Order: sequence, then C-alpha cells, then structure tokens
Amino acid sequence: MRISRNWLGDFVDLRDLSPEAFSELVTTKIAEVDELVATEIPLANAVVAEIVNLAPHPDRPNLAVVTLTLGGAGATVISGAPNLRLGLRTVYLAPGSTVYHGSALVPVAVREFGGIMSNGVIVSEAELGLTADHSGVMELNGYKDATPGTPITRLIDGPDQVLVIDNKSLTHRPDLWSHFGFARELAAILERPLRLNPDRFSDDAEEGAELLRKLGSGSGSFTVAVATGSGCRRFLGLEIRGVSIKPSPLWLRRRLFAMEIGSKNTIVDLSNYVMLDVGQPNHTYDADKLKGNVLTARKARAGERFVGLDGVERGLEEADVVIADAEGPVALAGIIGGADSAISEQTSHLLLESANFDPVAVRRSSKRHQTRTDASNRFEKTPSPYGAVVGLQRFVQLLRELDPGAVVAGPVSDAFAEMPTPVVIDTSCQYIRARLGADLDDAALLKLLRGLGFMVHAPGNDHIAVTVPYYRASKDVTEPQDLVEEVGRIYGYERIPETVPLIASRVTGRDALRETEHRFRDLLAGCGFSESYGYSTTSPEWEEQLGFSTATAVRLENPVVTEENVLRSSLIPGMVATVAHNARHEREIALFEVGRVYKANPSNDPAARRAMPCHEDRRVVLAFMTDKPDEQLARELSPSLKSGGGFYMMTSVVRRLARAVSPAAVSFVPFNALGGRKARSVLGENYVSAQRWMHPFRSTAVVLGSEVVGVVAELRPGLLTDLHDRVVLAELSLTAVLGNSGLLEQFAQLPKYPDSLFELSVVMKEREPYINLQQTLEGAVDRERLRRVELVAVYQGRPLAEDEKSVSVRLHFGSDQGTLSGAELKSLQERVMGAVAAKSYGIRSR
Amino acid sequence: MTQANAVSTLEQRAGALIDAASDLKALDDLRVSLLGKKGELTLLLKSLKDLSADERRTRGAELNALKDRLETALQNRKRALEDAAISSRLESEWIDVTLPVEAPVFTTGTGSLHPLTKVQRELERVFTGLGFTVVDGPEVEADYYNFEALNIPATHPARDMQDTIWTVDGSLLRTHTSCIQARSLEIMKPPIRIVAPGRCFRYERLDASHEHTFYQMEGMMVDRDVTVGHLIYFMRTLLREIFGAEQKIRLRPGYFPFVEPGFELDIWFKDRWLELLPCGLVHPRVLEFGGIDSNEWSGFAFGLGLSRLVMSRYKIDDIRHLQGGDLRFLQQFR
Repeated sequence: MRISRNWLGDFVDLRDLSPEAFSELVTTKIAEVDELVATEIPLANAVVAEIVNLAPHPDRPNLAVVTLTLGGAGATVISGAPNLRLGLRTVYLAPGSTVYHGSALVPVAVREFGGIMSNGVIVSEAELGLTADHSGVMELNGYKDATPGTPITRLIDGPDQVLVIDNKSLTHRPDLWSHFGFARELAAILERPLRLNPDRFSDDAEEGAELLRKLGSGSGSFTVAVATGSGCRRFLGLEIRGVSIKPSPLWLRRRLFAMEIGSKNTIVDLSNYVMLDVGQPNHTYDADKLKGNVLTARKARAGERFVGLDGVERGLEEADVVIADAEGPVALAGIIGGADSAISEQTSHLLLESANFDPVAVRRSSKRHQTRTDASNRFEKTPSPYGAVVGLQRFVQLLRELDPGAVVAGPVSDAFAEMPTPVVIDTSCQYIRARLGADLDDAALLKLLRGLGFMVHAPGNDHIAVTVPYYRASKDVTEPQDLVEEVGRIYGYERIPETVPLIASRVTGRDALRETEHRFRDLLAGCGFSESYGYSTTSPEWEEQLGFSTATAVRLENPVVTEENVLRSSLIPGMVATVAHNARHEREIALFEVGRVYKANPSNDPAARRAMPCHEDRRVVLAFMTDKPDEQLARELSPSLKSGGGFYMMTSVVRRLARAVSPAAVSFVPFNALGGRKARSVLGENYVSAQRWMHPFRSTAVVLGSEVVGVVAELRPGLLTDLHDRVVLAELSLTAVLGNSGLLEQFAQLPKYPDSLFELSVVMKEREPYINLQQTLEGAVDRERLRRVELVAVYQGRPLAEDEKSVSVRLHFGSDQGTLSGAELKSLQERVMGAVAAKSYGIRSR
Repeated sequence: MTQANAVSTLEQRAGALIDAASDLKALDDLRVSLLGKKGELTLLLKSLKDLSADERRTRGAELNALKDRLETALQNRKRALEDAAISSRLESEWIDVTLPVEAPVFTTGTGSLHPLTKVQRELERVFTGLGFTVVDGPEVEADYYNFEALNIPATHPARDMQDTIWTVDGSLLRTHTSCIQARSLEIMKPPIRIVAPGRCFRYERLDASHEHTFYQMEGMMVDRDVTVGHLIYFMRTLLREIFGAEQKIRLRPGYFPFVEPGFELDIWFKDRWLELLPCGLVHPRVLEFGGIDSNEWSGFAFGLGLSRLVMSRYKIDDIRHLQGGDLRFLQQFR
C-alpha cells in the first residue's frame, strides 16, 4: 500500500509536519511505515514557456530550433520532441537546473548541437519526475494560469512523499485501504478538521435511499440484482452516457504514477483513483456491450467460462461469485472484470458498479484463480457495504470535473442484500483503564474514542455504550478489548507506566530433557567442542548418499530450496556437511549440535495427528577431525594403542555424557554383536546396523543399560572426496539416554576392607573384541566378589603369533564382610582362569 | 564369419574378460587391447571405411553402441575393484571398538556455546527467576495449534502474513512459537506463566536479513487483572538483563489475531528500528479455545525474536552466520 502525502492533503492539513515526523506519526499510531519515498521534483527553476518560433535544425533532421518566450525574457533551445508546435505552452528550465535522465538527476548545461547553442531545455513529464511519460514535452495549454514566465509550482503540486506500508500491516483495517481512510485517522489523531469529507451517506434506510435518488437522474433502464445466497452483500449500479475516452489530466496521472499504477484513459484511471481515494473498488462496463439490461450478482454455474481483462480464460466453479448479464458472466465478482465488456476507445455509454462481496468467497476465488487484484485485496478485508455508496458518489463527482459531457442517465439501482446491524459495545471506562494499566481519566478516554468516530452514550454508573462507526464495524471493532486497543494506540503505549505485578509465588516447573540438553552443552563445551546449529531441512539425496533411509522422512509440500524437500532424519548428514565446510580452513574441528530429527507419523487418526503431527526426537551429534596422524593420537592416549586415537577419544566423551545423566553402565558394542539389544523406536534402523557413512571396522552402537541409545563411527574414508583427514562422529538420542537415567536413590557404602588385586594377561585372537573377555570374567564369579575389571594394556608382537594379542587386566576382588582369605582368593582366581580356559583363550604368565 | 557374428562374439568375449580382471592393472591392459589405438574394436571401426555408405552407417551405429557398452562395463568393473581395494584397506584398519579406553580430551580448542544458546539460557534464567516455567512444543505443528486455536481461521487474510512451509501430509513447520501458547492453555490451569524458546520456520529466501529458519521465545502470563503495564514491565526487564543497560525502544500498534490490543516493541539497532517483540493482551477467543474463562482470566503474550535479539546483542550483521556452522564464528562465543 502506498500513501501520498500530497493526496492526503486533499483531506487534512499536514503542511506543518516534516516528512520524518509524518512518517513516525503513522508508524507509532496507525501502522508501520516500511519506507518513506521522497522523490525529488526539480521544479524550483521551472517556468512556463511558449513557443514563438520553430525552425528545423539546418544539419540535424531530427531536431528543431525552438524560440521561446518566458514572459519578459526569451530563450532558444534545441529539441527533438514530436509535439512541438507554434503556441505550445510547455516547461522550460534554464542551464544550472537539474532534470531526470532515467532515475538520476543530471544538470542542465548550455549545449551545442551542430553549431547552434541550446540555452536550457524544454522537458517531458518524465524529465521532471512527475510521471513516466516521455513521449513529448509537457503541454500546459489547458491550464488557464499558464502564462509564460509563471513558475510551475503555481500550477502543480510540489514534491511529494510516499509512505510504503506493508499490506500485511493493514490486514485488520479495511478502513485504511485508501487515502481518505488514512486522512480520517490522522485528522482524529492530530485533532484537525477534515477539509473534504466524501463520506456523505446515511445508514438510515430511508435517508440513504433519498440520497441515492438525488444522485440518479434520467430514465435509463439498467437495473442490478443480487441472487439469494450469492455472496454479494450490496450491488449499486448507475448508467452514464456521453462519456468521452481521452487521456487523463496531469494531476490524475501523477497521482496514479506515485501509486505505481499506469494511466490508460479518463474512465479506467478514474475507476482506479476512486478506489485509492476512498477505498471502494468499482468497475465500469461498456454498457453497449452488455446483453440485456439487468446485471445480476450470482454464484457461477459449473462449466461456465469467463475471460478476464487480463485475457486469461478461467473455468468457473459454483463457489465463484460472478456478475452476469443475460448471456453469462461479465465479471468475476470483486476480483476482475471481463474482456468482452471492457472500456475501449469507442465507449460512450457506461454502467458503473459499486458493490460489496463476501470476503471469504472473494478470497477463495482469488486464490483458486490465482488472481489477486487491488479490488480482491480490499474485499477480502471485509469493508463495509456502506462504502459502496461513498465510492459511487465520489466517482460521479470526479467524473463531472474530468468529463463535463458525461451525464448520469438513470436512477441508482441498489440491491442491498445484507444490511449490516450496527455494532454497539457495552463496556466501561474502568475496564479499558484496567486492561491498559494507564492512568487516564474518563473525559480524556471518551474524547479519544469520539475523535475516532465512535459515538459514546454514558448513562452513568461507569457503564458506556459505544456505537462503532460503520467503517470500523464490519469486522475490526466488535468487542470491548478492541476499544482497549483504540485507546491504547492513540494514547500511546509508551505512556503506559511499567507495573510490577503482584503475583503468587510458585515453584516453576522442571523439564528433564531441557536440563539434559543444557548439561550436555556445558560438558561438550568443556571438552573443547563448539556448538553449531544446523538446518532441519535437507535433501533426500544427501541423506541417502550417507546411507540413511528417507522412507519415513517428513516430506515438504513447498520447500524453500527445491532439492531440500525433507526434514532431517539424523543430525549426522548436516554435521558432515558442516565439517566439510570447516575443513577448508581448520586443522582441527570439534563440533556438536543439540537438535531435533523428524519421522513421519503414519497415523490417520486426526486427533493423534493433531497432538503429534510427526515423531520428533532430540539428539546430540558430535564430530571430531584433526590433521594429526591417527597413530600419533593413539599413542598419546596409551602406549598400547596402535591406532584409533580419534575414535577412542570420541567414545570417551560419549561415555562422559552418558555417565552425567545415567547410573546405567555404558558400553560400546559392534553392530554384528548387538544380538537381541534393540534401539528405541525413535532411533530407527540407523542405529542397529552399520550404515554406508560408517567405517565398517571402526563403528559401534552405544549401549546404555540394555538399550541402544546412539552410535560412534569414523566417517568411511573416501566417501567424501573433499575430506582427507579422518572424521569421527557420534550421535545420541537424548530421549533414549534419558529413558535410562535416574536419580541416585541411595549412596553406596565406602569399602571397609581393601580389595585384593589380581593381574592376568590373556592371549586372544587379534580381532576378538575386548568386551568378550570382560563378559567372560564378569560371568565367572559373583559380582559381590568381583568389584571391577580394569584394562591395563594390550600387547601385540613377539613372541605372540601375528593374529594374536595379549590383553592385561586387573581384577579387583573384595567383600563387604571382611578381607578375603587366601583360600577364598585362590578359588576366585581359579574360577576366573577356568572360565578363560573354557573360552580357549591363552594365559600368558607374568 | 559375418560382421554381426563378429560383434556379438567380441561382446561376449570382452564381457567375460572384464569380469575376470582381478586388479586395476589387468583391467587397464584389457581396456587398451579393446579400445586402445590398436584395440580390437578400434580396428573394426577403422575397417568400416571399406564399406558402402549405407553399410557404413548401420555398421558404424552398431559398433559405436558396443563401444559405449564396453566402456560402461569397464567403468563399473573399475569402480568395483576400487571399492574392494578400499574395503580391504578398511579391513586392515580394524580396531577393537569395545576397548574401554578412558581418553584424556585432547581437543585444543576452547569449546563454545552457540550465541543463540547463550542468550536463550540467559532469558530462561531471567524468566525462571520471575516465576515462569520453561516449556516446549513440537516444531512440526498441526494447522490447529499454529492457526485455528490462535484465532486465525482457514479463511483469515492473516494467514498470508505467515508464509508457511507445509508438509505433504497436511501439517506445517510452525511459523511462530505461539502454538505453544495454545498447547499450554489446553493442559495448564491458570494462573499460568510460561516462556517457550524454539525454532520456527517461514517460507523465506535466504539473504543477510532473512532466514527460513529462525528462533523465537514465546512468553505468556494468564492471571487475574493482567494489564499492558505488566507486559511492559516484563519486556523492559528482559531487555535490561540481556543488554545490561536501557535500550532505545519504541512501542507501536501491530496486528496479530491472537492478541488484542496488539503492539510491537522495536529496538534501535544499527541506525534503524528493528522489530523485536510483538506482543499484546491474549485475545479472549484464544483463552476460550484453551478452555479458560475469559471473564475471569486475562493475560499477556509476547513473541520475542530470539535471532534478532542475538544479532543486536552481539552486533551480528548477517543472519546467515547463525546457522552457517563456521567455527571462526562459533568459537567467538566462549
């Protein structure tokens, strides 16, 4: 929506406001101004000039030597304009002035054209920035005060400022979709009179009819009608004859230009102008092209077709509202007129429609036909049906000024199908004050409301009955809290004192998931990881490339980026991309993200879908990459490790996270050894088998208690060509981790008796996982006695065979009852050795 | 032997040889012997010049098609051999993933929290201190909670204000955290004081100041006799806490169907007003949707622009940094 300050000036005096103050006033009281466009109009030195001599240029066939009188002085200019003629009055600018060249202002200089000096310029409207018209120099012969030498500022309005307001900010205010609407509001805020009030009508049925009777004249035969249930609330029609189709005057074209609307001819321009002036969309039909003499607003019939002014043919449905003549639709009601009955150069006989339609019907039709127009935009905001009268009156009034030959040729035909009931709100000054928390006395409060056009009856006892003016009553203001808003915004929210509420003291609720998220973040930042936030949307190709199934992914109907049309099913793919991005400029990367992943909810039960539109799982993902060799990292961790440094660091970090919230034991189990252990349903199949993105020999499930809660794996080398260093990744489900958490119920007694240690070196196949040995040892004796199994070292090399390793462990034996006796210890050791032998592990003597 | 027979025999023989090639070297030798300068197929192609124009055309097309098929087969075999090579290398990299190594952390970076996390936590601290409970809601929402229950029926023009991303099964990515108002009203009994930080989505092209993914923090208080003055107190308190000083702000009317009156708090940032806090008194219809008697209870709600607050707090000039994942950005927030 664009609002011209000069145009507002027709209605209310705003001359004393600076452009900035004007814009700020609109923003803080009415609606936010997005932009204040102040187009410079270089009129300061522009004067009327008359052509007194005209000669072709001796050398340049396209140019003429033009001699001008400027009243007293004269000037000679060279011009190539096509409309030069003796006696033409146009606009002259002397050297030193500026004119528009395209959208830039350039200085006017004395210029030579083939030996003849051009002393200044005569200009087109576009060169002054008035309109887009660059077809010739301006024509001022129509202005009666345009004598040579007269400053142009006496003939036309000076520079204008245009407020650009987002339509979204005006969604709720049907009354503000016009200059008059803004002027009415500004007049109330500034407490100034309206200079011109086109709003003359009566909502009293009889009086209103009388006004319309006066507006009509002649005995035309056109009538309008509204079919029952058609969605047309009011339809006014008026026949006009003797119209001449001609170009519009400068003032009108200029205002439309400021609104970014092109000019066509007087009638089309006037139709647009009236809508922008008083907010009422209207339509003019070439009456001679209409069939029959009745226009009816009705529902479309299935199969009917309609070609709009835009040349597009539309198939109509019964939900569409149309205006139809004897043969069929001539307009898609409230949206667009028809091509067949459009105004042409030859039109002299008009039928003017000023109507009001059901906003929902207009909105649906305009969406269905993908035709959004200035008219449909206004109708879908629910303007008042009384506005139809205002628009009709304004059209007739302005037509008489623009085209004195045009005559009203019939009575106004008025089909008023849905007369609105007046809105009266019962409330009290005290209610309004209490909602605002503002110290505003009754008199000041009522004055604010009355200034905005509300009629207030105050029968006493603090009770008030507020009648809403028709232009606010159609939708916008219907309840007491709407009046709170009216008072609040005009009084000024900034004047309301901040008030500390007196409220009951209560303990706030807790959320274990949120607390865990925060705990993990702190732990990970403490471990040197940096938190990043990734996007929820991703491309299925990317997920699939890494081996994730997108079969149950949530798919998007209208993704912002066409390829990224699913929601992520894991945090891994996004993190891999983030690592790849950072690998270009980092030697070490340690990143994590806490976020959600999504899985479609296949339920067809509407209640279930409403409660949970999809399955969301909270996850944490970690990534580590370094350009240090893996073997070096391993050695730094432990002399007995040959490789897997990054991997073991990641499992260590994951273990810390799990331990922070869960008392259950965390273990790392290769996917092929998971056995019956299942991942929670929120985790899905990505957690129970090795995926394409994983290094097949450096990947593991994270098991907490007996449940799979996550994965740790190296990114498969060679999978991404732009990553050269090893990347270790881990993903945990917070929900699953938390499902295995618990508070400490009771502390464990500190051991009263020292543990007896027993060290053992077991020889096993190189590729047999350590966890097998641990389970063997733990299964061999009572847990009451074997308190802990501790890994000491892993050794490979001579004298062991090439496919063997020796694992040294330290067993902590003990008892709460007393120090274990030698015999007891011996029996425990024997049972352990027996279990080891039973697994056919070797025992290496120490 | 006819030409046709020669082609089919060559294809069979070459196919078998390709499948049998056991390493990359053998495969490459095979490629040269078939398609190289003096390769079998190359020679066949050369011999075409002795044929008539018509024959040349048909034979040529056949031979070229065969050439394409052989090239594809060679390529596929090459990829399979390479994969096998990688797999055997990977196998040699086996480690015992079950080893209970307790590693000291050897990242050299300091570690950092995302600025959104930092500000969100700060806000959680402030509002928890003021007696608000921090709550959550789903990011993929039902139309009902994102629109209907917030007084935005299907035909309401205000739906255009929120350029919505829809899922194919008729849900949507929440366009604001206000859905959590509606969900909380359903399950909580007044008095209610909640804040709800979260991720929101709009159909918006990415540039320095627009993101399709952004963060808000919803706040709502429902009690007896809640006023605009109370709302202003909480908003100013939160700004004082985040910035540590009074900020230049302005309040202006704003329209949101779920509040009445509705207004916006703008903050002065980089020489212009930045929309930060749309807010207002909870619309009675929203309370009624949640089953709360609007004659007895009133409330306020606000939808703090968390991304914008973070940007103005740290003077971040490009919203894309927030989700860009660049460590040079992230590590600044220790």
